[in-house]
Amino acid sequence: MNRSQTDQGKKTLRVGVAGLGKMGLLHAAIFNGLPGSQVVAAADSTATLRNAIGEINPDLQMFSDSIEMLNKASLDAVVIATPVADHIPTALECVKKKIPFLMEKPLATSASQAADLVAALQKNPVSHMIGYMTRFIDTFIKGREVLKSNALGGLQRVTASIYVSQLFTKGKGWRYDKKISGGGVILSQGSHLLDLLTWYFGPVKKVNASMTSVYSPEIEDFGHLILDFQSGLQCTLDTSWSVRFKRTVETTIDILGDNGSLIISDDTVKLFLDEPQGGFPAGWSTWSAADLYRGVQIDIGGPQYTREDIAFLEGIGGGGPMQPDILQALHVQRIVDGAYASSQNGGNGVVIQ
Amino acid sequence: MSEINRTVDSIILGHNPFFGVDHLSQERGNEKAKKFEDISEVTQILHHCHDLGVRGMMMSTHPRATAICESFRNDTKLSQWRAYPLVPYIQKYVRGSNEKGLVNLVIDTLGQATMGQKLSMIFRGGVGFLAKDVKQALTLLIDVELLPFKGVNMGAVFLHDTLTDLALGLGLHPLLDLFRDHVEKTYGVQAGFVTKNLPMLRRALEARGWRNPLIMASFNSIGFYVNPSLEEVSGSLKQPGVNLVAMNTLASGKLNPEKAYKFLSPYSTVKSVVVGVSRKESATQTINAIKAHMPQARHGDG
Repeated sequence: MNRSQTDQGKKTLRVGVAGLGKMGLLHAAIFNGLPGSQVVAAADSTATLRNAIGEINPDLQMFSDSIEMLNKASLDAVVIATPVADHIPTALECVKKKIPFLMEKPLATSASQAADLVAALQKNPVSHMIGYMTRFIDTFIKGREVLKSNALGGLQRVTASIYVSQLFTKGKGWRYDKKISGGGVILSQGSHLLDLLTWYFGPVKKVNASMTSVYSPEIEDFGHLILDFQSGLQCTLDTSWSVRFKRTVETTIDILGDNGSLIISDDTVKLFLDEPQGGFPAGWSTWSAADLYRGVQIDIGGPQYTREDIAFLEGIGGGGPMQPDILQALHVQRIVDGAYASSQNGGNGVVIQ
Repeated sequence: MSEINRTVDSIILGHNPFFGVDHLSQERGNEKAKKFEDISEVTQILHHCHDLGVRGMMMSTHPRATAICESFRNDTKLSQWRAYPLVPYIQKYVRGSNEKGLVNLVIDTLGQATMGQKLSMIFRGGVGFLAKDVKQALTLLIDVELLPFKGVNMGAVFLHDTLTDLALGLGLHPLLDLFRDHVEKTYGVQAGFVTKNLPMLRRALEARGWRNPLIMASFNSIGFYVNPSLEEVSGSLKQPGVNLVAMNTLASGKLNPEKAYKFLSPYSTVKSVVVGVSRKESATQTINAIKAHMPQARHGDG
């Protein structure tokens, strides 16, 4: 695995991974498998995993602390996959050292926690990307393309949901500790959908929300949001990690327009048009994941992660702006903060900055 | 390891429909998950496939696998079958690591070990040995995962693609040797590897001196789930030296069986097909198409 140059003669980027949970391992394996990068260091506070990996692959420098890794290892890029509360301090250190970073979602425990990082990046811009990977799923890319063609005509309303069967007893670990995670299913899963919706429809002006908990004393297991976009469009959003028969995360966006409807999910895009428009015929057009599939150089947990990581590497190499960036992720964070505030205030609308 | 039985059933039923997995439609998968909550619905399909000559089934250690294993031990027809366990049950680990963290989950899983295994763990210093002896811990995890298969005939034990590919990507290639050696020594059957990166895995194994590894990977004419590209995978499979169990051969229902198996026919490295069926009619059509177009699979010499 020791490569100093790629076949194309480009420099191989030396990547460090902060946090070796499931997302850290996933990105580490991808960056190690891609021709333009090599993972040279990793940090995790859990000795078990650190020792296990370090023992089998001695080429990897292992650290117990992310900041120590940033100080001691010579790195060209960093993946931040720590528990959420550590995202901002780790990213601030990357900005200080001018090291590009790919940060797992969500941005922070709250928008106010992210303020220092936003300011630091405005002062000293460093290439960065926030890991809302659903933007790299083929069906959601296709759905956006159809939407942007104006095939639907004027947009009337949107219903969206994101569900997974995950939690049916009281959760253990940092995800269920509000101080470390920042929130429950709205922030953890719902933020993916909020990122997609703002990518599709632009900024949100106001949010009303209610949430309930069945298994988690500190955070929500179910969330119901009404989003008012600046464009005037309204969307209802439902999310839970405690529903049955959702083996994997299921995301659906159902859009009604003057000329038809568009239903986008993880595995299918279905368009129905009254009249031909935007280059699409009248009646049903459907695209499945199989129709849209494109192979990737290395696939660990789905090709979307590989594409996300390639976009990050290309961005570092000067291949254009990386998205989603901190301002887009900050907007998502503000919607989540707004939803929590609304829910605590009887569901009254909260205006998003 | 000459005593290892290296034959692989030419047709292996997939567990996906029974466990609610559908790569093309989550909705369809969810419907199947509900239908097959009733285990007699599963055995009916298995009996039908038995009559068509099928004798192998892939199974993750999904909670429902325990009930299917019970049928494999007691049912006259199904006791002639061989199970192809897929370990670990990765959904449990993904969900569980979200629910309680990776390390807590491993500790909980090890808590399901048998008394003998637990004694051996205590002897090695409790769960603290996890940090000290990774390889011992991993082999113990495999043993715990395989507990439901006690007393069931096995054709091979496969390592889940998530782990194969993580080991591949992270440069932890010795873990692949560890898995093979442990499975072959402890269970007397061949170890196999599921992967989403066939050419890359093949190169890595060949670099370690492996010959004719047993690999399960997606292969179909439209390149669905085929990485890095259909051309590269086809090219690799034209070279002898690998035994492929082809999966996703119908591209999750996009391809008709006749066309799908005609495509696989010229590849002598494709020794076997794993295919999911949820209805008797489609099972008949699919299994007959495999038999018609894949002589190499019909003989299945492993």
